[in-house]
Amino acid sequence: MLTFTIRRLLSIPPLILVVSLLTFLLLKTAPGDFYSQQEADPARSLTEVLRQKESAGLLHRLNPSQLEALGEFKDEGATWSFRDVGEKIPTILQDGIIVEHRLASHSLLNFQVGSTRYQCDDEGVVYRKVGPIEGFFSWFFNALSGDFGRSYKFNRPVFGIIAERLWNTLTLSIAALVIAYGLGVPLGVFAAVKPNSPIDHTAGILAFIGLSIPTVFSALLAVLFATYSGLFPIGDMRSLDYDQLGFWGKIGDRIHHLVLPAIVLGTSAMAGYMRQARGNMIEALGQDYVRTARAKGVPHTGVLFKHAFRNAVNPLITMFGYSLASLLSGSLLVEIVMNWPGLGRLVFEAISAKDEPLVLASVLISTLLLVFGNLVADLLLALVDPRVRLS
Amino acid sequence: MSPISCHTSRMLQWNLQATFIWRRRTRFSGLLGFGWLLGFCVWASLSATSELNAQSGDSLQSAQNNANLDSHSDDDPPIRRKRIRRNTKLPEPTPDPSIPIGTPSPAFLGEAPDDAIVVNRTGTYGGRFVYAILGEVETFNPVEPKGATDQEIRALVFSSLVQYNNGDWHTSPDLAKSWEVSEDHLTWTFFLREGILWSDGTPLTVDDVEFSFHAVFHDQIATSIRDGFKHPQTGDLPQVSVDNDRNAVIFTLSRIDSQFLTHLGAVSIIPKHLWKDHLQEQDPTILQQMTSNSPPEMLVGSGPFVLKEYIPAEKIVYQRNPRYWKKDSRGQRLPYIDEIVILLVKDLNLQWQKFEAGELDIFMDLPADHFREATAMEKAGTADLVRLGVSLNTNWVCFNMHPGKNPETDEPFVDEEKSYWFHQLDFRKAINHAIDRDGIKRTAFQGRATAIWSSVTPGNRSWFHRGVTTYPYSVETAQRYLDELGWKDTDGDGVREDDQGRPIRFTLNTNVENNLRQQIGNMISQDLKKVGIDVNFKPQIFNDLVTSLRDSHKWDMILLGWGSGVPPDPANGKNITLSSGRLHAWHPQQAKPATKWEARIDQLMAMMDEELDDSVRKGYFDEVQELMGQNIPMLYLIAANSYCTIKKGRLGNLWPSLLRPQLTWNLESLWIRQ
Repeated sequence: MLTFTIRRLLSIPPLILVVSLLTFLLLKTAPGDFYSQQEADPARSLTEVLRQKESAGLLHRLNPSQLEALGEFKDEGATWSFRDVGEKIPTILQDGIIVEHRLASHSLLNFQVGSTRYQCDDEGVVYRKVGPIEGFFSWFFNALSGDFGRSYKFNRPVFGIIAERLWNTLTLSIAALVIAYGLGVPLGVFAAVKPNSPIDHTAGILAFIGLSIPTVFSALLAVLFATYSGLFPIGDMRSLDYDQLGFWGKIGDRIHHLVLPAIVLGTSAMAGYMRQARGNMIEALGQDYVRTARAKGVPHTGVLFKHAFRNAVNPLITMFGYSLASLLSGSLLVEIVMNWPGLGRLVFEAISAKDEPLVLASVLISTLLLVFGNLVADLLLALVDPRVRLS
Repeated sequence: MSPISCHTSRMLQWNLQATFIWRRRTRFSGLLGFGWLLGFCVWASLSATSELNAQSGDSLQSAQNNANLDSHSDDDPPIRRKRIRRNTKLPEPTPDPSIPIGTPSPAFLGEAPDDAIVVNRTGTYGGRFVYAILGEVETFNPVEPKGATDQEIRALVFSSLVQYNNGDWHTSPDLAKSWEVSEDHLTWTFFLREGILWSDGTPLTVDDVEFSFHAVFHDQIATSIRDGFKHPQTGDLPQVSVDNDRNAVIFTLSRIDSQFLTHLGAVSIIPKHLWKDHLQEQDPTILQQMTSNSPPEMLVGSGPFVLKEYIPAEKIVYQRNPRYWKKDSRGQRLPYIDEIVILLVKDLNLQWQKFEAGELDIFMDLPADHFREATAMEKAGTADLVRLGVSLNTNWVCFNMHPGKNPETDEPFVDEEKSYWFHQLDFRKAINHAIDRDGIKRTAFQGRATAIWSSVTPGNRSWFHRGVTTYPYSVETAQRYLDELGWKDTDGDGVREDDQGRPIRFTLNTNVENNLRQQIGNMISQDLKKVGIDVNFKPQIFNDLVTSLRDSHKWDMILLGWGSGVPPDPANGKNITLSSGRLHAWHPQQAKPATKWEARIDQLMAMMDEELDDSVRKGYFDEVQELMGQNIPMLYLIAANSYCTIKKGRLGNLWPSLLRPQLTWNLESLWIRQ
């Protein structure tokens, strides 16, 4: 089992390299970047936007001597070149004639020499666009030394931002997971013991309702319920006066806020586990060894839990492994609708705004969770089922 | 900023807002300067929630101020009311010496300086004011104002030399008690108030002011605040110097700049004694300071409040700055309110539920879906509905008139036949006549909007111009124009062909994130079908749209909007109006003005820049608006009406403004009625 674990752990680094590379390339493929919005803002000049991009590492500023080394190139039907005159900004020549930076910049907004793309701002400062592969590896080597970059939006190291919200999301997801398994598996087992009974049908209907109502909708219903019943808080993770509460008051307040979102999230996941548990149980109950056990006179509960359930539980454990991976991202919609200050919201926003360092960091965490979730599931499986041998 | 279509889940759209949101400049923080905001963002964002936009009712009402200018029921939206009240100015609250003073907690420290600004108000100390915003704190650092939220929240903590008064639409003194301008209008001397203290007790001096400007002007600091100060041609920045004897800061400009005070208001003054180590000559680290995880007590400012607590994605809590330096008319120090809580709620529905349940004191930018509920609350006497008038944010369509070619493929950006159509003035006139603005108003805005013909909406009482050509809805007129061009439907398929037999067929784009705009786009394409023009309406992801506007120029007709900043001065829209502008949508970044009228507009805008008299500037801009109205490169469509709600009788001294943040721009003089 030890070698198995080590082998699994060794597979993590290449996996992470591939996953982060793919994430990075996908982010780069879609048009625009984090600063597109700023470029669309009349209040900002191109000069400043390009500077922001430079400080984010998306552009690389060229000094005059590097520019002179570019030599002559063609753009918009004219021949251009730069001359290093010992000042901060080089002189720009169009067809051999010196032109003002501002005028030149209109033609040189975007130009290409060879396969490299350049951008020029209103003041004649020229930047080289950092390509996706180059950008990825500079991020990757920094990451190897422990620097995962600063979020473009928050201008702070990414893991600090994630850590702030990690626990909030985990609280919610784990509570939901407990509800999902705690209700789903027993219900599924009961339904399987008496298939086609009223219990089975009720559970089946509940499961289909749970599966078919989107969490967004049930979350909205929950908010409405909270508003009109007054029994539960309207969204949020804790109340405004949380700080004034005593220790137990704080815990009570948290639980009070947790109930609705956890139920919303838990019940929708519950349906899946319930159907899974029911199906496995029915299959197991129809097996020969169950009939044998019954024939031998093993008590009913013994047959159910010692023989059938232990055989039926394996797929549920595998599913548990996967559900660990979705701990961080699964609660996105509920977080938004019910204003839960979690990670899902942050990451979702980062993806749509293309805040690359933040996205990469969260993808790393999710990948790790997936790998560990699978590992835990496999180990649990070996623990529960003596037939499974890890080697 | 962001993909996602939002059918069921409007809440998904918030992601747009985060980045795009309007820049709300507040009088305190001063504006990040600049009047106009690219609306794709703006609308996309706030109206992510297209909800904002649909509103009705046209008059202003402030029950708080006991000044019901026009209290009528807004229950039934449509057209019944034709009368539009323009330029309504909400009255300034008046002091009432009979109200009790109360006890401030936390108490004030020391005495107010003799130089303190005296605000003509009275109020009672105490209370907690709770409201919600959609945004997220990106950073507390005032040197580079990022999102709109950041500006609003920093405005509570920092002050500037001058500030914009959203109530009377004028720039007024703040940290500077007065200023002098030299004969040639190039040297501005600002006299600082004496005796003002930072919230940590250190005196605020001219050195702090100079330091703050050095930070903003630092060559290696990327901040958009600097843009406004730059000379449009040379990029030169003003020289800043200090006159210790007169306690003054002197700015030497390289050109006359009518917007200098506006730009000045955007610069928050920061304490030199805490920040000086981070303004290095090379690679300054100042932008990495005061990020959202800094301890609150490190955020020392001279604004009315200090940060007490910030919990990411949950709330921001401020308490009174015990050393704030303004007084009311009874000599009591401001602010009145003990504590401000800003909840960070990213879903508008939830915000509304919270307001309805009484958890929030105000709700700004009332979305259309909640208008009925708001009027119901008004009738039930639990809330006041403030009718602010026509919003300054516009919706428009525009044709791609870029004559250039793609350098890589050597193909024109715009197909030759389309370019030919779009360049016909009569064609654009026909389109303008064919669009049923009233229909859009009724359907998409539920009657709560106003048709517009220029970038300046009737809500902008300083710059609105009545002389702009209008193109009222008339299918006949539109058809006549097209017939006169010789573009007729020759093959009977319902689509006109131009004089060379090419069917008039093109694409209309808008950003998919904005539901309201999708409705408008659909209506426009139906309207144009009626006159025999086949429009393929295709919403796109915002980033795609920006890329095609900026780089590929591959688009035919586009539907977007501009948002307005504070102050709503057209000089701030130069990126749009000037022919060299990056957002001169129909033909951006022209090396030379392509047409005579564009050249004239450039000239007028330059004249506006160097003219300090607003009435003369208004004359110039009226001409700009007329030229735009005659040549219609952009077809302005409609502007929503704007509403806010307030918990009944909750706040004293409210002075609602059409300019954002409508109710909270003067937080230091508001007080809570218990």
